[in-house]
Amino acid sequence: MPLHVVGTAVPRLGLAEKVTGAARYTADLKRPGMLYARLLRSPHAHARIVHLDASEALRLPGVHAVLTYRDVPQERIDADLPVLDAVVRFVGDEVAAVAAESEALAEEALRHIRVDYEVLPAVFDAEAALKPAAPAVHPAGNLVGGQWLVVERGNVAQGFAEAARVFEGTFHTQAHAPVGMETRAALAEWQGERLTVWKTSRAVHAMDRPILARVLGLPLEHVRVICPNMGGGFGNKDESRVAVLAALLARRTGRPVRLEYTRAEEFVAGRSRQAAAMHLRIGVRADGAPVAIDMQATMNAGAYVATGMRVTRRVGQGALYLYTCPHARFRGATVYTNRPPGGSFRGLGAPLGHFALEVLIDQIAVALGLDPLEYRLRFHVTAAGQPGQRTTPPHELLPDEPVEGGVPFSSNALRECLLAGAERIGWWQRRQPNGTATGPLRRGLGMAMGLYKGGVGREAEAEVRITPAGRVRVAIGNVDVGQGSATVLAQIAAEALGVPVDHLDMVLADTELTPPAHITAGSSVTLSSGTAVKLAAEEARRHLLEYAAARLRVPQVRLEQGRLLGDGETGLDWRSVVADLPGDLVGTARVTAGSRTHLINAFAAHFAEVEVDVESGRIRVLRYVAAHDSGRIVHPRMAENQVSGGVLQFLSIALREELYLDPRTGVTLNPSFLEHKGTSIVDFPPIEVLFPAPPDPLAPYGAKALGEPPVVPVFATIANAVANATGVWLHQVPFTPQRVLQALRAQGKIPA
Amino acid sequence: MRPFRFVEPTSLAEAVRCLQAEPGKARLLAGGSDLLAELKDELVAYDCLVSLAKVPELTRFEVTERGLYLGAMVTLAQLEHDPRLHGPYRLLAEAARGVAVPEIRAQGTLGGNLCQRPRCFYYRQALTPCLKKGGPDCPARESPYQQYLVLMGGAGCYSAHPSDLAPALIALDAEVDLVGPSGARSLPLERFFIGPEVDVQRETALAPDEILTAVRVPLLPSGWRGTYLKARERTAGDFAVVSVAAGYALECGTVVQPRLVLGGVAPVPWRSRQAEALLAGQAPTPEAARRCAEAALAAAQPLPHNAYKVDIARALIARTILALAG
Repeated sequence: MPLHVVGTAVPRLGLAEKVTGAARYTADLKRPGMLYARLLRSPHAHARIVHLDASEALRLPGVHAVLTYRDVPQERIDADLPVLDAVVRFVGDEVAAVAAESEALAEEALRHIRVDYEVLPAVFDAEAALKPAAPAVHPAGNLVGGQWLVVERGNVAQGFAEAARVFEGTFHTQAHAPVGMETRAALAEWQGERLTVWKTSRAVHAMDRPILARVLGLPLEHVRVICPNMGGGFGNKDESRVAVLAALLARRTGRPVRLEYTRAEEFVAGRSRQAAAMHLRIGVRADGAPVAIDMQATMNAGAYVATGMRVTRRVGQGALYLYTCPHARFRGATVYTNRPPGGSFRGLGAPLGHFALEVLIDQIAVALGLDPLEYRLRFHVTAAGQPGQRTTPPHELLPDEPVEGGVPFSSNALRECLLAGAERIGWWQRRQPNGTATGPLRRGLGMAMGLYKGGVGREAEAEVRITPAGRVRVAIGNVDVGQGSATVLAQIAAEALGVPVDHLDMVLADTELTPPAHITAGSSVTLSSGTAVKLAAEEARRHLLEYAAARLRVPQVRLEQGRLLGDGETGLDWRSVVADLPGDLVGTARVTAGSRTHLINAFAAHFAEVEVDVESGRIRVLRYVAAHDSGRIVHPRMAENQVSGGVLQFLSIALREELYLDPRTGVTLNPSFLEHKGTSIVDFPPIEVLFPAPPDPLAPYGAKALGEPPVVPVFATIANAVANATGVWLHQVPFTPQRVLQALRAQGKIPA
Repeated sequence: MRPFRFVEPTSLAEAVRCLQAEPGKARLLAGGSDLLAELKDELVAYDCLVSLAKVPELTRFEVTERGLYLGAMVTLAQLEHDPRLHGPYRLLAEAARGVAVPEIRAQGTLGGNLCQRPRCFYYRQALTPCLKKGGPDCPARESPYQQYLVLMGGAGCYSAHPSDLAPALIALDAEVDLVGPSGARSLPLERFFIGPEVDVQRETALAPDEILTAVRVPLLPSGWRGTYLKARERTAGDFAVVSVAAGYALECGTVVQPRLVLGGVAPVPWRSRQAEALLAGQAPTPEAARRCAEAALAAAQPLPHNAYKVDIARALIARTILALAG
């Protein structure tokens, strides 16, 4: 069947509104009588509140409420996150919330809240926090969950015994902020015992609504959560207290209350990327084939863990699965410290673990006298998957974070990605041996690859409703966090129905108007909700065709591009036959995405050319090629933007971005766009995006995950290109001039 | 940000009176790109901001046979784009183009750039007391984050002077005009900047009730050329980790009237007379450039985490000297 909508660059939904400024974000919303909230934050990294007096603040005219730990429900937002607490655990931890007639007044009120603290010892480094005498950030100890996460295929001890050579390295990645353009915000309004919250979100159904209902003691159906436009999600919103505090202030004051983070608050009290310390050992046979891969990671989760355990698990995914290898193990510790809390961010731990893996693989290839690309072409995991025995029972869905062997991939175009990327950048013609460039400005080519999951096991629902007005209303509970999923899901629905995409009205991210949905995370929406919306649209289409056939008094009709076609018919606009419908024609679907026979993963191979100024330590990225296997591409232009955007985001992190924490006090020293240095337009290299892969046989219209895979290989690609230019592999992100110069000097690569 | 009053005097005399009326509690506002950030971050608080936007003579921009006259409210964008800044004065346009981003250059002023405060992370964070904010000690000296700290000239406080224009203007032998309650005075720009050994809470000799009104640049030999190089962590919107303003004229293949001024390495723009003396009368060869760089950095005593800035400075000095050789 030829496709008419999937695979075309239809106009992105909501684009005109965003470009003209008409789009409304949470912090643009106002309700009659609305008050403004601000938060008092801890100046100490670890302290107990011994005295708190808000009476002076409450006496200010126009200040309506102050909430402290004494005024909030005991029910927790997360297992380690009280609504407010008498103990503060990082500089910036929430101490009190104020509602007032204006933001300026709320801010002024903060200065009139008297707090006396008993300062407690604090710990900022994850490895230090694991020592027995370290200050306990939470009562159960600093190792989250009380134990290391251990996953293993085969037996790595046996694998290393079989190895001809063993290589190892230690790698570090930094804490940084995801910095969505929009800061966190929530607006809460009560109608009697019913609560409506508008907020920045990635899961109105799966997270916000149940958390608000549970913490506030409300029946689920009394809570409505709506996410309007999102100004940058990146998996990072939200795992915080914002909505609960706004709702409590609104209940206390009897007025709607809006709480919006300042930019500095977003840097400090948003959820940052966890710093990682990773140690990796790889044993290879005489021919270079990996026989044992063993990775250990210590993750600095900060003061509250949020989704930190899942981040840690993803650190190991490359080590466990990117190379065909009988024995592989990952061990991860997720550690509380008095740093600002970490959370989810694009790629979870995968870009961190892939950095260590793909740099060490480069070092191995060079040590063995093999071209790094040739090494990967020989040993990357193939469509057959890993050797070994399947451990998932036959009737169960296979995970998309695989460990076990003995299971094939539904599709795996790593080889096509490697070859397409290599050809585009001129790998075979242009690459010099590592470290042979001379002069102050040295150029090099580097590459790395990656794999990523995408949506298996997620429950998804969709409702497709054909109305007598001649419109199709598609309701899905997911949030479009800015990645464009509303458009992609509309394309899938339109394709399945057989109508143009502009006949559709998409309704997303409102718990009252949409069926339940999973979180927008893990690059899952296209596979899971895409499957659901396809099934629901197919059902609605069947109803429509039956109705149309009866109405037109023909045995059967088809619907193609909005035209009803029967035997010998020239075609009739479908909208002309539904005006007399007694009610809507409805298709619904509820699915759990995945496969019982195949692993479903996305793959990528990235290539870069860099220029290193070996006298000033400056790295310039001159050119970047990203080749991706995400199956069929639903929307070519958005897909290309998704890849180039992800590459740019992580180039910026690779080279510059970091949250600086004062090691004495735990104060964040650079909570601003000026000093948490994102890339600006002049530092962007040209990025070429390639999609050389065929459709996946199991995914809806063959489309696999794409949101996060573009960020996975970036750090290693740059490190390997720098090594090609200079002969030195950097083991610590970001690759600042300071680190470049120190590494060159340490290895004698620059004149003294 | 705390509330403040905003006044817009229309003459210098009135502006001085506004400052005098509230000693220490009124502050001059030029482009605001630094001051407003300080106010928002609550590093400083003033009862009154005295805008200079309506004082006409501060926007004077003249190029005459005696040199340049640049009013303090001339914008960085004007310096970047004015076609009269060619020949010897091209150096100033280059330095202006290195500042921040186009939006800030359109707003930022010459006077504001010279009077901006340091970029040390500890000075810029209200939660960390430091000497410059009246605190008891310097938390930055042992910090891992020292890209904006000095290589030389620190005395208790180790923050480096961040201005891009100052090294260029000192290389051009600029003087500044100041006006205060007791009248006008002028001094060489080099002496306008003061180190922490003089006053740790200020970076300039400007009194709280004085106004920087103009910068004057004398006429330079027509063959004199300068250039400005700035090492920073990103290409736009960033401060100098190290910057170098260098200039000289070539007569019969040898250097005359050499100038070498470093930014980002000392509490004040750092002019190296030793390096200049070494270069004078020499041909600008790679070897001369290297020796010049060594001389300029002879006094460097890096902090625990910024020795790499010496490498960068050495490279930039040599590159500026060689670039001017043609």
